[in-house]
Amino acid sequence: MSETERLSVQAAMDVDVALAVLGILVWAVIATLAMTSLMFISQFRGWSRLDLPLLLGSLFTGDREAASLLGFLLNFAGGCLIAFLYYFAFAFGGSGAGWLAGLVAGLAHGLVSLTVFLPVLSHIHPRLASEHDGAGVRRRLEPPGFLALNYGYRTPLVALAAHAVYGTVLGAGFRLLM
Amino acid sequence: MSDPVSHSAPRPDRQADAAALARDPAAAEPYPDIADYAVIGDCRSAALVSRTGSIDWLCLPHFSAPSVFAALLDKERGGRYLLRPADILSCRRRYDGDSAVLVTTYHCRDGILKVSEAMTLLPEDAGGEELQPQHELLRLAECVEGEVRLHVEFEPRPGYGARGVKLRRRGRLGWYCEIDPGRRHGNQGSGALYLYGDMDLQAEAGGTRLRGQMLLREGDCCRLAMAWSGNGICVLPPASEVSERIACTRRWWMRWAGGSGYRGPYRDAVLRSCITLKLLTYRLSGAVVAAATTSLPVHRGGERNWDYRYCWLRDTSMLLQCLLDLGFRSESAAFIDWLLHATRLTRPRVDVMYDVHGNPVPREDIARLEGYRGMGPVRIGNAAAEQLQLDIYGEVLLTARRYVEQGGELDGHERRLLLDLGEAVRRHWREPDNGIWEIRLPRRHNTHSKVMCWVALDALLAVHGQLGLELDEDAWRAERAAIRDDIENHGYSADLGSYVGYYGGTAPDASLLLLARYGYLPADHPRMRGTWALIQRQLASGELLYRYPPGSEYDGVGGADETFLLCSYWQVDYLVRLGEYDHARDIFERLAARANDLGLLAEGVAPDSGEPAGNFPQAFSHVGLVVAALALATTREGDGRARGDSVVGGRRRTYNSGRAGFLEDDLPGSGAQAEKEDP
Repeated sequence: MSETERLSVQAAMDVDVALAVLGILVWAVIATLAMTSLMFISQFRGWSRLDLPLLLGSLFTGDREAASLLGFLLNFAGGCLIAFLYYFAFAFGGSGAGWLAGLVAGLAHGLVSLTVFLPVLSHIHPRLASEHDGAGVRRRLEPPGFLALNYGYRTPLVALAAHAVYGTVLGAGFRLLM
Repeated sequence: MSDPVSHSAPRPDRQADAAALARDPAAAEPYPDIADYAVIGDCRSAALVSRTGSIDWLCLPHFSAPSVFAALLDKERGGRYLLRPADILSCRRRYDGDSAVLVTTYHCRDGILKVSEAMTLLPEDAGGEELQPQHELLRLAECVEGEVRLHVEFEPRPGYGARGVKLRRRGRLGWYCEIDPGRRHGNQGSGALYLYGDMDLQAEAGGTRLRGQMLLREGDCCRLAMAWSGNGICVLPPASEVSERIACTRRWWMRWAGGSGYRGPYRDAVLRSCITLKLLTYRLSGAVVAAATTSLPVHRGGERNWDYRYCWLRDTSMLLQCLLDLGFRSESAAFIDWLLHATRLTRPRVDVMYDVHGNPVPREDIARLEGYRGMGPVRIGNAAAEQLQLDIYGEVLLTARRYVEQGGELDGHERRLLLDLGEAVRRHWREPDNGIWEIRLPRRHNTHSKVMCWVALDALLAVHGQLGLELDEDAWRAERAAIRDDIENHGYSADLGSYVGYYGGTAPDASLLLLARYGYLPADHPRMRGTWALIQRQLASGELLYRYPPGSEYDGVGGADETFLLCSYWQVDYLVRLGEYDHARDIFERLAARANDLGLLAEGVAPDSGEPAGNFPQAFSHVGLVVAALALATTREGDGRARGDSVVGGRRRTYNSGRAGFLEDDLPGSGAQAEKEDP
């Protein structure tokens, strides 16, 4: 293969990768929007008081508006990045992509968020109060508790549903890319 | 400035106290008098606190949301949050300076207890960088002398008492419950409530109620915080900050009240009224509710139980005219913004009232509460929202005029709105309406409404040049003259020598006193003097005034009416314009004595018993007080102040933009009315 041909193939591969990344990103944005919208609606409707943007943003600031904005950006960026993990899991996990695989992955993701992510966050978050120590000058944010039930008894269901939607959209979308 | 509180005889021992606590005190105690209530609030909602330390009314997250505590309207089912010492002998209460922080001092058998309570409002320079709760109610009990046993009872009952709650302990975070007012109210008012602090509370009645007691010795204190969150994560400032946060709230109020600079007579009463009016302002939108409560009866056994927790454009406009006169301009700017938002769907027509967010008021419904002292019904929503009340246009445009004349600026949308309102008046002023008193009879031609249509056009003609509004000045002047002509031909009875409440009627109406205030006629005009005389003959009861003849079929509502404080205060304004200063001052002082020990006014007063009647505290009544005090401040030759000027901020300011110089030959029959319509 001549150098020219090699460069041509390389360029074609680069374009393929770029298109694949772009495709992943597009579906990542769609899935993240769907998930955050569902979370927002459930909060607005009074189904759950879980406010993930505020939780994330208040890691860095005590200003409510700044925390909400920063948290939204972090949540959105996190949703897009995690989509890549989904892609690789579908690509190399053997089952391939599809809405059902996405649904299962989303539910697993939601379960991990509720049982691992939020409890860990409770320990490292500088503004989350605890039931053991009570509220403090800085630690004054209501903690999530087991399965985030402190934010309403429907919260685990809402969180699982939102992640299920996220996974299903990614699974269905990535199937078109693979 | 305090009254002794009625109390039971001291009990012989603590066990008796405990036994009393074991009973449900809500069932055992009578309803407090309306005058026994104080109001605290955070300019989004307001709580009524009884003299004996019971929070008997609180709606969250805003004034017109479903209640969390409503023992005011049903002592058994409504829910309450009580904090008080045992063995009260007497109590004194006051607001801390020019603030809405309530301080009650209880003199008990074995000691003295001071309780400070407030709903938190933090100055911008307070609170630091930390998150703040959506709503917070703080109570700080300090034993000043001896020892005092403190009792607390906490029983939220969301949805106007319709729903119970399940209170759960959350470790050292305190007690928690989900607030769910029920599907009947949509998702309005759902949220979470925390109660925490120094007292160890125990759940009872299946976890629907908390109760606790604590012995405080001299120097001890008990801090309790109640935090509420609607649809977000609750923020729980530590109980150790309660004292500091109450102090910050006091500072917030003092700073706000300091913006007035009022130096006229009756400063304390005026400032207290301003603070009460500010308490009724929904600070997130600029809307002002007519009162903090619903369905406090105007008359025992009557049907006059109304829900006043909404924003009437008329009431708000009158209120803002007062605040403008006192130097609070930002409230008017916020209201005009809110008005623009609220009328977006109905413009140029304006509805009678809106909720605090500018949405339509819900259809009238009856809550399952027995009512204050069993005098139901308890209405939620207000059917008057569907009425036509033409006077509103005049009040809104007059407010805008005052705002502009005092240097306020309006953007293009706001100017367009004003012009649209004026055009609406030109189209509809000939129609009958329900009038200022929301008469629930077929519409009729109310004289006051017609006059306010005249005021609306007059206001726009006065400021259209300044605002750059394009209107056909000649046509508008002709229309204004036509309104006057109509009023003089149909709203005045030559037989009675007086204006009458509605065309073809014979009864006077207290709202006619405003004709002088709004510059329609000078106060000393024979027609105004005749109207004053008729009003005095038929509507006066001492210094108090009925809105219209009591016991008549004037309004079509069953049950008697009580005297109306706003109208009573209008007498002062009229008498000042008439030059009868001493008479005006005498009436003012006798009316001021009708306020409770904290300076709060209800809608009316029962002339026989002297008891407050109707919703409480009532913005209209406090507006009346301010209007009257400002009138008294404007005139008194001996003070060296010219009539028409008020003492605000240590400088002269035009108080009444009305035209007080009308001549008699402006009137119909002079042959020159149309030509001389404008001065």
